[in-house]
Amino acid sequence: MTDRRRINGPSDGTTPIVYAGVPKAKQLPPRAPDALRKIFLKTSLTPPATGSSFLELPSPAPAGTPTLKLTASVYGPRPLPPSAPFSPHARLTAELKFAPFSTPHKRRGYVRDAVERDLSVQLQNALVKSIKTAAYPKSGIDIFITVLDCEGGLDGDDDDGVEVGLMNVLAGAITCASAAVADAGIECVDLVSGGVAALVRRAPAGGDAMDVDLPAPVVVLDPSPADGGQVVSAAVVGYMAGRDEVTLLWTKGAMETADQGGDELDLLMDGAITTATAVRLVLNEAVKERLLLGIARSRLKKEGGGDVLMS
Amino acid sequence: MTTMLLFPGDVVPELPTPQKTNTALKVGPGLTYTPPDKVVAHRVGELHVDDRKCAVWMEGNGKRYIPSLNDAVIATVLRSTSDSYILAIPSSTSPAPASIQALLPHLAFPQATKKTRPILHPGCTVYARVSLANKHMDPELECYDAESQKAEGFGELKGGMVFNVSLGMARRLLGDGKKIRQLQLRARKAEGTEAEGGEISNGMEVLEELGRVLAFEIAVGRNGRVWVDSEDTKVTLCVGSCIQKSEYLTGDEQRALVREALRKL
Repeated sequence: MTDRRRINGPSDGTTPIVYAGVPKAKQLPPRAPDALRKIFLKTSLTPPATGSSFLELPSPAPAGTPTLKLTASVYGPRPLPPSAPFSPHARLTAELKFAPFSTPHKRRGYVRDAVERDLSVQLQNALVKSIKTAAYPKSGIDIFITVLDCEGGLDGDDDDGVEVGLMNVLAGAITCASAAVADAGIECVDLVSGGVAALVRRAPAGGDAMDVDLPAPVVVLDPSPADGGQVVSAAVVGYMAGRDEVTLLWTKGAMETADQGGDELDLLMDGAITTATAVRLVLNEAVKERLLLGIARSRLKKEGGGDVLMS
Repeated sequence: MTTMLLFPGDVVPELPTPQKTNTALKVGPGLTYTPPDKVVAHRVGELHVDDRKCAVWMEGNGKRYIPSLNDAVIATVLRSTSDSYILAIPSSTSPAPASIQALLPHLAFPQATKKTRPILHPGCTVYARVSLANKHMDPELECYDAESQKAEGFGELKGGMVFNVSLGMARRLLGDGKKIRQLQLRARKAEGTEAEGGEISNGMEVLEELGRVLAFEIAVGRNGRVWVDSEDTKVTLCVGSCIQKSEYLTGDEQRALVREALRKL
């Protein structure tokens, strides 16, 4: 007699599902510490949004290697609902969400977690300084970022060093959101681009892990969690290249500041700014590509087209 | 002539020098002037400099319409209050409820009195002129021409169909492309390269070509809406789709598109 009050299992039993093993990430060819990965950035891909963009890093990525894929869509400036209190500036909201399938080895929930909320606030702080919010009173500008794929490196930090995965996501999100803002034609004083730099200690080839003489860490621009090596400390900046202003700085790990007699913080910041300046060139090219498409009507020759790649 | 593209934060490299001493520099949308001689771009776009009028402005292609004075727009009636209609000015992407709301006073029609005012029902399409545009207040509309005080085509649009285009396309359809074309021709003349660079489109070839063969009525709103009406629904749809398709086409391609569409009609 089956119990009607509980949900019974199937009578004939099932076999557990066997998944194919997760393919191991391929080792990428080593990069020079100051070499940046190529970025793919394209705007106006979400038709209903006022402005939108898609970012992929690195591009082209060999199959099986982890990549960072982000989409950004901007809605607005649109009128705030009548219930909202009066605001003389535009209200900017940024929302960053990881897709459930975005992280390797682990599915993420649909409800916003603490990491997503933290990144959203940082993103909002990085962007709000660039947008002329006073030009749009009583309106709201909503920015939505969806992380479609990320490179991993999202676990907590341990004695072995810090993880740069979240920093890469944030830097990518800043760049992607700026491209979408420019695509939407919202007035802004400058475009913000994100850049990451890290102090990485690479194990000497064939050396003993217990070797007392550890090599000095070097500044690596645009570090990837797949690169290997022990990341001692890392920094991400939101940088307005036209005005030479930093809108956001987030650092992790142990570093010596100037008053402690070291220059590690300055080195990291300079590295991150160098990355962000280079990323700004990609940002400009991506925005230009869409604009030229509209201008091409007046010339016989069609310009632009094709991927925007950073060399 | 090369196109000059500017990004937010870029400084305008050379400003036009006034030909007469008393002409002031006119700074158009998308640019901000910082005394004494710095003009910074705040939007992505193509920079245009008119030396004769001593003006600089940015030409971009947004999707969101921001009302400005004397713009002709196509708006939708939402409801009526005791002394005015509430209208929505939709942009090319936003649906009516999420758009800017505007006021159209009951008396803002030619020769309207309290007793003889046109009755507009919710959902009506109206072609109107922006009479008050201020970022802190809701815009106000009028259905008559500012100079002649006559309708001049403004008022309710009966029948027909409304099509969406981008804001840049709407501006070109209203003839802004012609001005820019003249500027470019003048620049070419100055450089002595008239024969090179091919034809410059004014963005309106599609309308000129359609108007030569078909009979239809059209109203273009700067908010990226185009209203088309004709005796035959087929003609209305043909005109609308030709306009929507010609956004990224050169003058010759636009003519070819229209010829193809007319052949199928």
